[in-house]
Amino acid sequence: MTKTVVFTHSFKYQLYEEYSPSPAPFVSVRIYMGKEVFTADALLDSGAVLSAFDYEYVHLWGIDEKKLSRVKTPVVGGTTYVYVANRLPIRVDPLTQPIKCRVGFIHGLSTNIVGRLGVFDQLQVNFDEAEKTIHMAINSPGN
Amino acid sequence: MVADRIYAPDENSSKTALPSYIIFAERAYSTAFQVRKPDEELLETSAAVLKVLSNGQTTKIVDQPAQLDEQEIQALTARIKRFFLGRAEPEYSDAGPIGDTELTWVANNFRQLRKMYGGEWIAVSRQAVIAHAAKPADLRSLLKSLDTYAPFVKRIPAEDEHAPLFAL
Repeated sequence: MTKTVVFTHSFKYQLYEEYSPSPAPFVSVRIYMGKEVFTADALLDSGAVLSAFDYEYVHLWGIDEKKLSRVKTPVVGGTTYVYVANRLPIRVDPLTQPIKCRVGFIHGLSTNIVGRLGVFDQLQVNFDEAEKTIHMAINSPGN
Repeated sequence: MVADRIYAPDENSSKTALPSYIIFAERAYSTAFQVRKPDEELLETSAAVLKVLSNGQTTKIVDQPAQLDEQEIQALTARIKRFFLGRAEPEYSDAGPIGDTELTWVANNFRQLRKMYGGEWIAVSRQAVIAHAAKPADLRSLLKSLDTYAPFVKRIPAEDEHAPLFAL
């Protein structure tokens, strides 16, 4: 089967100067908390199911902690707790409107992650590792 | 990429009494418009020539036989957006691209930012740090007083903090 995808957006990998030793596929993520809107960076991670942010973002974005559900999750070397918001409006390019996703918050998470759930099923994402570039397009029947 | 799509009534259709429909799609909607066509229900509902802007607003540019009031236009706008954007939420208005300007600026200036704000949270807008605080709740309070839209917020690791696992 051959499938042709027309990518509409491209972003270079980002290298955090003197911190990350190699460029990585970071993108800007927009978060909508009523009238308050924030932008944050997050690593596009096709291996992760859930999008996740450091727990401190709960305080930054004014999320009601009582509305988060706590889920015990296995990780390398043990288990951790993920605090899940079930319908957090987030958006990444090239989406033109936010989508309400399950998003996890984890204490001490040093890198925010955009996972597949809710996001990757609406986007075509291509990692051009050789060019250190992400190409993306809205997922659609013709794309 | 800008897509201009013109939908005219099907001459063989029984709906030829309906007015023509012209929908100009600016950049943000171009992909969606290219892959789908209006359904019959939408055509029956619509009764004006509309210009759909990239920010999701709709402007009535030509009146057709049935006059729509503002409330009807707003309802129609929401329907058009739901139709073309599928599950996307229609209540937000900043449909323009987010881009990576602030992200790139922070990445390129990370060494200096760590020296100045290591261990703190910063907010960046228009390639400048507009606020910083040790605690995210304090940064949130500062931002409320600044009247800025969608600032880029990030915790800057202290100079003695190591890179995360992803980058190894």
